[in-house]
Amino acid sequence: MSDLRETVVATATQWTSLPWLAPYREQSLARVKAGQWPELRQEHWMHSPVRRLHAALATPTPSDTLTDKTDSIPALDAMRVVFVDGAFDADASTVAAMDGLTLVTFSEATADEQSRIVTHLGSCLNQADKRERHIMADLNGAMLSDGLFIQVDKNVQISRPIEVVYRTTGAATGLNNAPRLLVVLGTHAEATVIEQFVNNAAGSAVVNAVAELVIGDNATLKHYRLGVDQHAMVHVGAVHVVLKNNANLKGFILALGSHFKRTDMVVHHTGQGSHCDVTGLYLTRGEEHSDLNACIEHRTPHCFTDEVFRGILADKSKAIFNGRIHIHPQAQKTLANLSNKNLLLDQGAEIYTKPELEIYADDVRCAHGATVSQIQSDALYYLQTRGIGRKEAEIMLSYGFINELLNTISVAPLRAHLQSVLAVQFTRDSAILEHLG
Amino acid sequence: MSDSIDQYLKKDYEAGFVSDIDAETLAPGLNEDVVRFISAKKGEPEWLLAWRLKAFAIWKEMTEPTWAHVHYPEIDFQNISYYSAPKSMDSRPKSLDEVDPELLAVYEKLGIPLHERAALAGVAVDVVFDSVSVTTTFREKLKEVGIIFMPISEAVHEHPELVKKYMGSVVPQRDNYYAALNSAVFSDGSFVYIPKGVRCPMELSTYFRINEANTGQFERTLIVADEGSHVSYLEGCTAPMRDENQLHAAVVELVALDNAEIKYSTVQNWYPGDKEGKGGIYNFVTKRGICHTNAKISWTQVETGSAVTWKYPSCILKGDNSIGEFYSVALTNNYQQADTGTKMIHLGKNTRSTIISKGISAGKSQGSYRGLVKMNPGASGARNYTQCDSLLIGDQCGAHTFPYIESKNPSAVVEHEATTSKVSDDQLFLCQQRGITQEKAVSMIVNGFCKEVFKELPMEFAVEAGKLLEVSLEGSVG
Repeated sequence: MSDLRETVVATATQWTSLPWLAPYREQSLARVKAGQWPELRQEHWMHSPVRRLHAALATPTPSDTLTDKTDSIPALDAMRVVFVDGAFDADASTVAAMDGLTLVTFSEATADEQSRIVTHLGSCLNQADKRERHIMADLNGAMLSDGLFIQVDKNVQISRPIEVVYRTTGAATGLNNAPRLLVVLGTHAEATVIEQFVNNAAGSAVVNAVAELVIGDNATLKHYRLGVDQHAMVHVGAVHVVLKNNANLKGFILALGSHFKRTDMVVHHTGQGSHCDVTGLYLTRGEEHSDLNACIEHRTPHCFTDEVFRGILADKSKAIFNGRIHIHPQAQKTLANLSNKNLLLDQGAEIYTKPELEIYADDVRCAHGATVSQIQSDALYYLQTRGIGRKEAEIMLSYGFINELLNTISVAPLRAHLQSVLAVQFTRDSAILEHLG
Repeated sequence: MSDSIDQYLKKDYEAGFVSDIDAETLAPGLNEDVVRFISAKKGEPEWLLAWRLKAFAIWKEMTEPTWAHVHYPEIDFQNISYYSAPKSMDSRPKSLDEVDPELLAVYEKLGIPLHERAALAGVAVDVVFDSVSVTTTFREKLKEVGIIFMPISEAVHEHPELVKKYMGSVVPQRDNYYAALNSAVFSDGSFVYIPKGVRCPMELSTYFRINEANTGQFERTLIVADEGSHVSYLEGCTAPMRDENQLHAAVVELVALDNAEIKYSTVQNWYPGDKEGKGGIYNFVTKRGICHTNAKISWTQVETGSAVTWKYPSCILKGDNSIGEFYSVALTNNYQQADTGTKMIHLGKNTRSTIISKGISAGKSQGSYRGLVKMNPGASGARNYTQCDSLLIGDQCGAHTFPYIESKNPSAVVEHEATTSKVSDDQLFLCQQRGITQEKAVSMIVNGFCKEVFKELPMEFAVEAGKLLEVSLEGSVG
């Protein structure tokens, strides 16, 4: 274990890329050295199969090329930026220049853009306490070589979504596949960002991606993070958000299970009157694993949080959900709600859910609810009395369970795309697909 | 309002007197000799000494748990006296008449039903003073129906087969740091055995009191309800006011065999420390019960005392169709900290559990609910419902909820809900509009908030609990 840690630290120490990012890399490296390595005895990792993570970091992965390139979303008119194994792929990207929008990769940033990036880089991560910004996020900083910087100027609304695709081929050794997304919205700005993670089915590889989202006064960001990478993929990711006065975040997380998948979402309410709506879905099957952590830090008064997470677990898969709402002493008049519902489809599937409330202010209203069960037998019975077979009825009901959340996606092409992707995920049998529409 | 807050803060801890009773107290420190001394003092058989020594060896290898949401200075386990017994108890009294009158006066002062009051209230009491069981009432009457109710130190001699069979079967020595410590140095406690098919004709009760300074209290309670039997057991605790913190590390084990039912109620009012947070009891208790087929264990607790509470009464639902219940009111004020909750481990088919937890935080206190609901692969058709609500009074306190839900069986259903809020302004306004003073209104609202739990308590306790809460909250709302 300590050998692995030393190897990782040694790799990160020797890592060189853009020289202007060196100070940030060094800062992150110092944190990595001081940080706790993910281990089962730590509360935050205790149910995760950390061995899978360790094994993936220790063993170099075989080189492979990405054959499956079906990551485009039909009918979606979007600006598209593609990273392959953490490096920018200009050929696959389509970016149009627009007034009031800076959309540039770290590797191509001008001196002015570099200074803006340096100003904001780490500003969200640094807000998080030690427990929420674990070593993997710092490792992303220490291995940082490229990323995407999106800045929307004051009073500019960008209606065309920005799509960021991270393809993992397996050619990366693991640690260096560490892309960073940095989004900065000015006052009254608006944008839609779709992050999509795809991988090559044949290869096993690691991606360690961090997104930092700074949402300015009265600004609105729609953020979709689609972890559709599956199979042998080891995916560790974090989204750290700072909300200023009256800022709005509409977040959506989709995590299909993989060999090891962990997504951390940390939102800081730092201004008054900000809203945070987060919806999340995790779907696992086979022997897959998904670990979803959501932490909302209410540091200021009059803020709102609404979180809805649902999971469906099939076969012998395992999922973990941690939902923490932390109300600091100054955060009076907070309204916060969290709901987590889980469907266990098969004997052998395991769910560990922990909705937490940590409250240090009295004039607040907070609630959370969590349920775990299988599909209701009377609902199944009802469909069977209407002549629908049991298997089909089960699929219809579980699909309905998540479709409710998909319907909240306001980007229509994205919604339609996800509905069809997830329908396939569920059925594994095209004959039943006709029932889902 | 701030006047009444001040008034409340000045309120004395009513059970905070010290009784001047000659006591034999062992010098502070813990080593194998201390364990041997305690065992010898009790004239224990060889097997029990070996059991204790094994626990002590395990304890030495363990480290103190730090995961709870509580903060306190490190405990120096070598600075605690592990044995203190009222001296006059050396020749054990045959009846209440022989009990040191000063002791009786203590209980009189506490207002607990002992002596004639016991008869009136119909409660059989086992009194544990510091570490030693002082007196047990109604033993003869209980004996008629075959019930054994006696100090565990006597049970070791009179019913060694039962003690040997069940002690450590629910909470093994290795279970956790404080359980291991208790297993090594426990001095006394209560033992209850209800024979097959017997319904205990009266409530059984134990009263715990820490009296001596610098002592820890380590009692051990073991209740065995044989097939088809039923028992309701009450537990109460108080301690004197002292500047230093005192340790209370108890173990309670319940065994409910097939079709048996155990109801265990606690009103915990250990000294909570003064308004600056100085002194008070560290209450680190391990309570667990095991339910066999069709059995039922119900925990009800009202926690108002202790500086730091670390307590998770749990049920292992081993047998099919068994039932576990947990009803709790935990009130913290001033600088008190409580991390309390339950564990429901579902092993058998169609097992059911209900958790109702009400937390009230006032002053500068921190109250946490920490619970585990675990559905094992064999728990087909199991069901859990959890509700935990927190009420905040004042803007410097904290209320936290840490529920752990784990399910490995698709047919098991787990439901959890939690809310946190302050006393609603609308409700207060409505009451005040009807001519009820603010103070009274808050008391009414808080009582209503806790009603689901209070209704589970035996009558005498429900009255006491309601009063305790009212007193504890007086003036803390503004």
